[in-house]
Amino acid sequence: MRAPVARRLYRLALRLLPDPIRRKHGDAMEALFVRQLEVASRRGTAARVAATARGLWDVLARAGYERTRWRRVASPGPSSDVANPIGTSRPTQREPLMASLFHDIRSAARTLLRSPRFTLLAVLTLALGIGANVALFSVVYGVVLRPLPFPEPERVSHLAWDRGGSVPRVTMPAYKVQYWTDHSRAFEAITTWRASTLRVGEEDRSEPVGALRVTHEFLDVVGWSPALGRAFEPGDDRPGAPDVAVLGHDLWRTRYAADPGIVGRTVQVQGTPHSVIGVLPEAFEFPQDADFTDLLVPLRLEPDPLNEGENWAVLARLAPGVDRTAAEADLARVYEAFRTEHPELMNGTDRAMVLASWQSLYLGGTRTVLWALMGATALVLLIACANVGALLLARGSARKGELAVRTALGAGRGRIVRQLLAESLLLAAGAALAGLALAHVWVDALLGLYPGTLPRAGGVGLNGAVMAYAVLAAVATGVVFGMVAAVPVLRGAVASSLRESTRGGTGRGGLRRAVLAVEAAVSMVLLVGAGLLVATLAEVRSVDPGFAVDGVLAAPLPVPPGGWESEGGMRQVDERVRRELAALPGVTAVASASTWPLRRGLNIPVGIQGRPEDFEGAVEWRSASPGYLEALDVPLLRGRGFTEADGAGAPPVALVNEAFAARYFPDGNVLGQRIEIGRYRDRYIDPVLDVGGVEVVGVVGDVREIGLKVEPRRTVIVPAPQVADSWASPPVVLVRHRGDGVRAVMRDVLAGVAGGAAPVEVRSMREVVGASLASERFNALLMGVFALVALVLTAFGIYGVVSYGVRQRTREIGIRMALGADRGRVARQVLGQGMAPVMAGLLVGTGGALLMTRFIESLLWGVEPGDPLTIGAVAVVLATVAAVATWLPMREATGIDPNRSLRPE
Amino acid sequence: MRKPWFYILLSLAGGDRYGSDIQEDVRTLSDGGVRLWPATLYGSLEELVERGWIRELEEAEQPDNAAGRTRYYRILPGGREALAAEVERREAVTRVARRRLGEERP
Repeated sequence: MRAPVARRLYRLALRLLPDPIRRKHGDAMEALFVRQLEVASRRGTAARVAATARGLWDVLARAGYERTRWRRVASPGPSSDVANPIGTSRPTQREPLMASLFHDIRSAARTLLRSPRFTLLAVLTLALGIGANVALFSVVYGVVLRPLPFPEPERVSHLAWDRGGSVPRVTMPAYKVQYWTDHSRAFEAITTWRASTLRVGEEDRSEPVGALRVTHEFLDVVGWSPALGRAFEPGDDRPGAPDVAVLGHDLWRTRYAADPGIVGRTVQVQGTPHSVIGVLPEAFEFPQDADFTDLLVPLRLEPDPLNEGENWAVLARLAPGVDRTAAEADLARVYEAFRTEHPELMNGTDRAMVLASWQSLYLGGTRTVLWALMGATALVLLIACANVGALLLARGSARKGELAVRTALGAGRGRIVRQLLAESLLLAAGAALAGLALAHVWVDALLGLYPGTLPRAGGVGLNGAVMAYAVLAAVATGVVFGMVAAVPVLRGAVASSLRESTRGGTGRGGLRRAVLAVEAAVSMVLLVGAGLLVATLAEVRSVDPGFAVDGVLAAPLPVPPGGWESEGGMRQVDERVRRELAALPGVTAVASASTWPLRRGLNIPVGIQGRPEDFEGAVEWRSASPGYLEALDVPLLRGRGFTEADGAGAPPVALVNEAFAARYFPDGNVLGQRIEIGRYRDRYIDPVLDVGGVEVVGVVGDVREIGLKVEPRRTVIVPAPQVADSWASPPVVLVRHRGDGVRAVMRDVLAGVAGGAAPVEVRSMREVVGASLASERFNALLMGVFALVALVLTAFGIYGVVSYGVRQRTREIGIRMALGADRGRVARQVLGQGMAPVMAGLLVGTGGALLMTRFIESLLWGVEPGDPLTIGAVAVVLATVAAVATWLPMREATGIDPNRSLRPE
Repeated sequence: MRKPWFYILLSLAGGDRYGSDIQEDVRTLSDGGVRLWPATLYGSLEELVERGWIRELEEAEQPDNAAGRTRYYRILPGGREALAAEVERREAVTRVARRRLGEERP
């Protein structure tokens, strides 16, 4: 357990003490506790946890003692001369109630400690549920629910295009950004930005830092003022304005030693002098691009109506007093004006400009995943509650004598229910404490397993909201299973139990059966959810990616320490490395390419020569050396691949994939056709290659370039030497090999190029494919773990309830067997007792699963939410587990010896 | 007498002390056997003040090196009496115990 947790818990516990004593000594107590904790920590984690528990117990016990002491002092009597022990006025109304509450708790604690095995089992079961649930809540809160780190966050909103899809389009062309900034009236400020890595400092001492290029209203939108100096002003982002910069707090501290006189000094950014106008506050955060807040420099937006690149996200702060409806009305008004003014710039897809939350735009599927997992843990908690409720019921029956005696002695029904509730709340509180510790482990595991980076994961932790949730979860839990245990009392079953105690059944079988049915139903929902996610993983895994997964290695070509030119240029280095690798034993093919499959590549508009109108969005674009098809084992369907003859001066050629050929040349007449790469409608916007058109010389098989779940895109491959210099980027090297050992040699060859200046990482395509499955694996794994926990809890629940039923009916079964009932009948009856409610639960659970799995539909692939195979398989598994859990007590029942069971009590 | 009271009085009988100082002193006195956890410690101090056995020092009476918000406590005559009575009682018990163990002849 980490220090802050223990400390927070302690602080929370201190609130239980009477106000005066807490106000007077609270700080000192906390300080002393922390010291004792430190002393204990030296002896290891176990000692630390023990010390935490001991310290908390000390406060709880004392709180109980103090409260009752106060009542004693408050009651008039001979000893009340010391009326006001701590010198502060004493609330007189509340104390007796509090005192009796503490009395209840103390007596509940005594009761629970008398049956430590039951208590431990109940606390652990609940802790499992509460821990997982609180962990997920803390992640959901930190990532999804927590407001953005801007002052008055409710006024800050993205502007985005509603295009009829579930998520609005975040980015738009610069021209539209400018138009809306100029014409809308509902906002105090509107900004856009671009994250980039810039070099700061003198040439030889410069370092790359994460920077934001921002328009001048940026800080007004996010609502932060610099800690030092000033923010940007309207003139700062005009062309020709002097270069200025605002430093991030970290950069200021690390690189400029937190120099308070930094404002006004000049720093080099990308080799140009910028004068520092301000320093950001330490707490500044920008979750949209969290790693780029080391430096802010002005962005000069170029609103060219011809540039339709949708590259700019827009963030705005509502003017004071303007609500969202008014703002959206204002946006609609501007939209109408734009439509009238620039009909030629309208596109068919934009329906309206809307306000959109950061969460809806940036979290995407993450939100679904987190909520689904949180839902799953809530269901696990529900099962845990049901289990403990059943335990309490069983125990309630065992204690009915005690409770009946108490009733007989005059304790009211309310009093007994209160006592039972106090016990459940105490159990829940213990479970919540243990659960918080578990939650920490869970959160760490979750963040560690999460594929890629979880936005705002840094804000996930045990904060006030999470503590409040944990308390709420504990109270809700305690009340839920406490009520289950209290139902018989409310029904008056206890009063009659004195009479009943010599008979068999208790009339509570119905409730117990209901508990079983609920557990089975909830488990069913969870297992179906997990099953569907596992099926999704299997489906994605079984997709044919269109290239060889085994025996292919890939690595980016590293930059030599002296830069490309020191080695004769990038292309020379590339060729030399390929020659070296090809000579290695075991290597069967070597190629270089702009990227490897399943890794983000570039796309580009492509037109067919002579068909200016036939345009359908950008296509995937790759450059490759000869040998590319062999290295990845992509089939050549028609024509030829690249050869060394397809050099810089030779006639430009290209390969297209099957999807491309099928879309543009459905008649199959592809070879020899000319395509215009970089042409968008009637102009060349990306002059990658010769503008005169490129001849298609071959058709290749479709490759899943984007991801295994994405249908192959239309793809064009061009020879690397023919790509214009401005478009050439450092390639990746692909090696196809037989046998082992090539990987190490390949790394050595590349390390030789890098000369220690750049890291070299060789990966196999098998690993690349594996990494692309990370999300599916994460979903399946976590949901699977929760479902398994649910299944185990359910199995224990069934076993507990049925075996309890058997023990209760020992006498009855004994009589029947003595009267000649055969074992088979008894067995069938016991089996039915457990299985009938489980079967009913499975039925209900199937319905529940059909309803609930729609929420995770977006996480599924290749399998329907109502997949009958998954549902059927889950039902069989659950029924089998239930059968085993029932069979054990059944064996016990059929082994009952009438002689012994009929002996008088 | 409650165990925490006894040890607190015992500690204060040796001189004025503040909370965590008492706690450490008690640990030493009891050979590590008695650990006063914060709520018990401060709660008991309040009770002892209430009984008139100890009192809190005014700021002016505190040692010069005392940090601003530290509360010092001093044993009062009533406290000494109570402690003495408790020690006597314990001695009596100890005598009986020794006798029964056969260490001391009557």
